[in-house]
Amino acid sequence: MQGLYKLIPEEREDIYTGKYIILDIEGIIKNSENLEPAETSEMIEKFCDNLTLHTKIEFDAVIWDNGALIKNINNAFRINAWKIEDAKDYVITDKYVALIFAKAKNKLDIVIKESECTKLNFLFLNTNKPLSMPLYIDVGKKASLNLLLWYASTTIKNSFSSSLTNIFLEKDSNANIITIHNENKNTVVISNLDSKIMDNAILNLDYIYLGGNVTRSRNHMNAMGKYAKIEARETIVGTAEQKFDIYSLMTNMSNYVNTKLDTNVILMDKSSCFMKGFSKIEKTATESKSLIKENAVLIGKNVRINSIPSMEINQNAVEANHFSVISPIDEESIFYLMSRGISSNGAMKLLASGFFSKVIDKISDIDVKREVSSLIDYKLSGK
Amino acid sequence: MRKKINETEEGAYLKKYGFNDNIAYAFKTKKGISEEIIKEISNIKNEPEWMLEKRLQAYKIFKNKSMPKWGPDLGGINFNDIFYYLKAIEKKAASWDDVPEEIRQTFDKLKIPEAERRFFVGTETQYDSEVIYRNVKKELEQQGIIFIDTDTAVKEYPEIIKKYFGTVVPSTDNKFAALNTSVWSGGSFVYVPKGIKIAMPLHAYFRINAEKVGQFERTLIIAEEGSEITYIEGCTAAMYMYSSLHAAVVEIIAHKGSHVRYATIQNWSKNVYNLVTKRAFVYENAFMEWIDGNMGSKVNMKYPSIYLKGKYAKGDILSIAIAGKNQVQDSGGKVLHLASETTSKIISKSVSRDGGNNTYRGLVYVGRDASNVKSTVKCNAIILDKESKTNTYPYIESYREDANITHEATAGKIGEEELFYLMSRGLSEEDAITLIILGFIEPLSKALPLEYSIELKRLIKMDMSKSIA
Repeated sequence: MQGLYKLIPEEREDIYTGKYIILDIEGIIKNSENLEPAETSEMIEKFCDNLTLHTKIEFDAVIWDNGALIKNINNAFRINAWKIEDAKDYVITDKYVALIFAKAKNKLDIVIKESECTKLNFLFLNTNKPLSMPLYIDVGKKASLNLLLWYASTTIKNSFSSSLTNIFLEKDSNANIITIHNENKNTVVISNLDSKIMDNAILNLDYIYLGGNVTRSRNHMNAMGKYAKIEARETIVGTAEQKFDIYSLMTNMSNYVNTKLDTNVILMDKSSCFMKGFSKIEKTATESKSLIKENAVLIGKNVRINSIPSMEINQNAVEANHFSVISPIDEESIFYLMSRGISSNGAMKLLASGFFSKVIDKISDIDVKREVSSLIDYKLSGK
Repeated sequence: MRKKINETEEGAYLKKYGFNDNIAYAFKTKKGISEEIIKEISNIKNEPEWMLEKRLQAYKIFKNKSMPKWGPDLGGINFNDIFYYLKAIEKKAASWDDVPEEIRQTFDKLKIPEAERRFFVGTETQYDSEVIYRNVKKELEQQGIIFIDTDTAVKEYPEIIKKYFGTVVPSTDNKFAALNTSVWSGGSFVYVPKGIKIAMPLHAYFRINAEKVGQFERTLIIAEEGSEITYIEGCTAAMYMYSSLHAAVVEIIAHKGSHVRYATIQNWSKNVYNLVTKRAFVYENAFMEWIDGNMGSKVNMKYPSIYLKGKYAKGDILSIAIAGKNQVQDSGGKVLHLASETTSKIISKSVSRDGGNNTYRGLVYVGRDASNVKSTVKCNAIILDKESKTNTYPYIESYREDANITHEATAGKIGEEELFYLMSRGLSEEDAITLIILGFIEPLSKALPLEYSIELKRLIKMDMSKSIA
């Protein structure tokens, strides 16, 4: 893996070469090697108990770099030792991901057997020791998975939290996966997804990016089987000097597939976001559909937004569209709410949370929906 | 056999535009580029020393700059296998009758003199490296409008040229801008004095006749406060086995309250690399329009740019590209909002057929000092068959919370319902598709003078019928 890290060329984008975003993953790994593991199982348990006071979500397991706290025994998941052969299932094109893989010792395997229906909730904790726990998800034929992956952090040192996920959805299966990144400001978030969706399978993905000082996400979604359907929603709230670099590639590879990407961003203070939705339609994907929506509302005076909704179409019998809208918060709506007695800040917060309601409404689990909503509201209140 | 060639698309182009004249050139440099060649070009033009210095500086930059690492394959360009300067006639013709018979016949076939008489107030014709003919109606000169070739302008108006040359597109901008600055020849220089509005368009025609030749014209347009001008250029080339290179630079300065409309119908033959840098600086209340029709060339890389530098400045880009067999049309537009209350609109439409490849590449940039900016980008692509491709790479970068930017893009085949409707009214499939395509590119044909627009439609019709057949 170290070899692969050296082989992958440097990022060509200005934001990395021009040092707008500095990602010293190598340095963090090196510094963390001599650190004592700060957290013990008892401390983690205490953290979880504290969290349970605020949320009704029951976690099946809490996972951190050096261990795991299994709360519900379930045959659908297991923590196994990560071996170099496991990398063959993963298409690694990202330099940083190769580096994190090189550090990985364990992996989380989630296997849903044919026709089974499972719901799993995981809490991942980024401690002083950076989190590098790859996830391998395999959903069998006609099986169904509802999965929550919540990433938080307790680190007081510069660290990174990685969500490296490999998803394979077999024929006629479906998966609803919600990933919440709510790490603290000492954390760099590295998110990477490689997914293969087979015939008639449906993948619903929700990414909620709230925490971390820098977030770099590279998600690849491949609709490989006929009639496969992928719907991905990305919700981003930036405050202070947070930087988000979100790249999502949706590839239509077979006939009649349907892929959708909906990115919604609110930026406040000095935060910035690069939203790069990319739709690729292969020659083999006749009668397929692709849609990318990028929507950003800017509130802070010193925000920066880059929107790059690209597409590459190699087939004519398709419907491919993308839209991108960047705008300030609607002044008329603020005026209307203020004329009804709501303060300027309150009106702005109300409109901002309304902006995300269409995304939150799509979350089927009522407890997760409530949790996501309150996390967003908390973030919008500038805390 | 001849008939068979003519039935193909290449045959149609060959018949109409792709023929070549066997003329004896008055002067030509050796193949390849070097300091000596550049000095030779400057010497034959009898240029002032400062221009030679600019050329040599640019040549250093050209040598150090790498080829673009993005976009289409430019591996077919061999900079050492190109003639950088070809002079067809010793002295510029004073009247059309003075143009040598062979060249005159070329332009007669292209209907340029006829067009000039009927629609334009001024015409300039460039044949390979030099402008061979120019005609400006007297009333323009009486109003103080200058419309001459850039070589003459360097000698007659050195102060204006020194002030503006290379300020909008510096040599450091990209490899081909540096190449152009080092070997430039010909092009138009237009100066419109304060408050003067030219009702009819100025016209330039660029023709590449020789094989393995590069055309590097340099155009500079200055529209003073409150003036208005429309400039139209057309391009064709003879067809050969080996590639030619066209790397022009166009610089436009639209001063306060002026309106500049620059239209291009690019119909180079399918062996030409067309790598052009076009840019306009637009000041307070001024309005810049780029109208860009790309039909020809082997590889086309052209992204007309607008820098909105003054309050309330406005910029529109209309880019239309048709990519056929073995063609790569990499086009689009860039708008940089650098002042408050500025607005822009980019419309890009493309048709890909017979394995052609279209790419839209664009930029909308909103700087920190540009409040209340509004920008709209629309890209529509039609793909006519399974072998063709289309790509869209828009880039939006904003540093302002009060900017309103929208972008939308659609790609797909021609709507079956539209086709069915037209065919149910008695049209053949071929006619129905042609009609839909003509409707699709209507914004371009509408923006051109009527006769030009008719010619464009005829050209597209001819192109489409070959493709559909």
